[in-house]
Amino acid sequence: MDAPAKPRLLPLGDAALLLEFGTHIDVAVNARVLAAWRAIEASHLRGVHDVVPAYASLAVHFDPLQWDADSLGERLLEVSSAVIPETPAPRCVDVPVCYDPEFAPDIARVSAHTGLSADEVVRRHAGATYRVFFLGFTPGFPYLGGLDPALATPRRDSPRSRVPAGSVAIGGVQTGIYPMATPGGWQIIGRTPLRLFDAAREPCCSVAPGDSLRFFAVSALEFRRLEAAD
Amino acid sequence: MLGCISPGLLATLQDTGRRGRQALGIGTAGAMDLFAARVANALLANADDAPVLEITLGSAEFVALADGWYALCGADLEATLDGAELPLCAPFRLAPGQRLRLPRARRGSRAYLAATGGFAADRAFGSAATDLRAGLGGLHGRALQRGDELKAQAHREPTRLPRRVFTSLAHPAVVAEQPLGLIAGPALHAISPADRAQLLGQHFTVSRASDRMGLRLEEALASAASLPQALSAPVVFGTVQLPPDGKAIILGADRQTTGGYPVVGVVASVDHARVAQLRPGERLRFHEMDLIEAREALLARERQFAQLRIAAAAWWREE
Repeated sequence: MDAPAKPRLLPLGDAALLLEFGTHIDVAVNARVLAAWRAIEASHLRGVHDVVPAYASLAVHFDPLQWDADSLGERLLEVSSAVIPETPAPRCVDVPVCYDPEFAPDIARVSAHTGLSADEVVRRHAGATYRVFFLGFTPGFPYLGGLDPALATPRRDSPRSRVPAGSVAIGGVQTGIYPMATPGGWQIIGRTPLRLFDAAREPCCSVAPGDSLRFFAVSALEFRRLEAAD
Repeated sequence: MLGCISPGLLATLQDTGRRGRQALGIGTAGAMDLFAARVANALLANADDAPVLEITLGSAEFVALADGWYALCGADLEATLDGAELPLCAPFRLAPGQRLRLPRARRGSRAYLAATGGFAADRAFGSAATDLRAGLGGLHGRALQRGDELKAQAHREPTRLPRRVFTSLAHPAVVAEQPLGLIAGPALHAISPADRAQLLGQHFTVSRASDRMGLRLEEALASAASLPQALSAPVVFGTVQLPPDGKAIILGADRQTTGGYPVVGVVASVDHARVAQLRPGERLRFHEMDLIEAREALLARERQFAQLRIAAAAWWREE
């Protein structure tokens, strides 16, 4: 196999650089992003204060009084070219979800759009293994890849002003979990009792970029028992 | 110690921002006009990241509950101390019972009140910045309310009064007169030449739907709807996004860590303070700036700031 091409370096203003590894959602591209992310974090470059991965790119936020973009860019290419993707053993996080109607206000809409019964929506959603590409939107919100394309459903015409914490939802071809009550436009098909983000806990986020994630269905009774235990 | 009689539209404790956790989706928050916050701190010989109070657009009032020294920078909110006009960008003393009022914005939009040692605040992930959405930092992760009390973390007396006030650093620049420096982003050359000409030369109006997350602009760029969908990617303070309706958004301190709209550019760091001080209804222009110009302008401003810091440190030194 040929050595992968160097990432493209783009300025993100005068205090951040973007390293672009690709332009599509792709597991191999994201694996290179995350490997570079870990390598740059581990190099503890002075004047670099945030390294932020996404689907196919990562941003390096730096102090423009300590670095000019050209010198930092060269340094980042050196650091990130020396790494092998997916160094840590991939971790799998199992997430309990109650798909009962009381937690799933939009499951009928997903059924109507996809032509699948509610039970079939749950079976397919809980039957897949997802990849956490990165965290964004709110603390601990995982951008997941691997949704069964048959479940894809457009976002709501107008977003809800408050989506309950733990809501599991579908937005277009993506699925995700809202770690905290926020506004949101995705179709809610269930809720997890797990607290995906807790500032007082170490680690504060239940999932990390690069993790695998699986959903499993639980009853409302089990949901409440787990909620009380967490 | 300071008691809040009225917080005004929005008052939050802020610092230089929550760094190093954006990979977990934790935003930076922090002062919108970081430079004004740093100047206010420097005047009291505080560290750059000492927590300050960000006060928005006016209708704010405080009463001193103990003796203390403060400094006010950023927007001119017609501040008065017991009814007498209070100059910006100079240390001042409040005695118990004295009232500090910030009734309305004459110039700019956000004022920064610093106290000796910084205001006491909750810290989360190494920062006191209030993140309202995530409920982190500041005062229990929320905005200031009537009846709240703010405590200075140190007591310090000046050894001599400042001989001059740094007025050139005190007031936000008027944006309409001087365009904001825009460093080109990936979508700048994907929009139509007519839109590019409009973006880099015409005036834009700041919408009423603007807040700490971002400034929305009212005039639309027609070719935005035909841009290819962008993949969610990291964003920074000053990122200029172009949603399909063509109305650009300049991202602020409460932005999310990543965004999915095409990016036409990023406002240069040296001009972030002016973005923070724009009010709804005010107008702005952009001009293209390269990285060398942006860095030189920033270095020049930081040299000026370093002089202020040295001068102000001497006011507080024991003799």
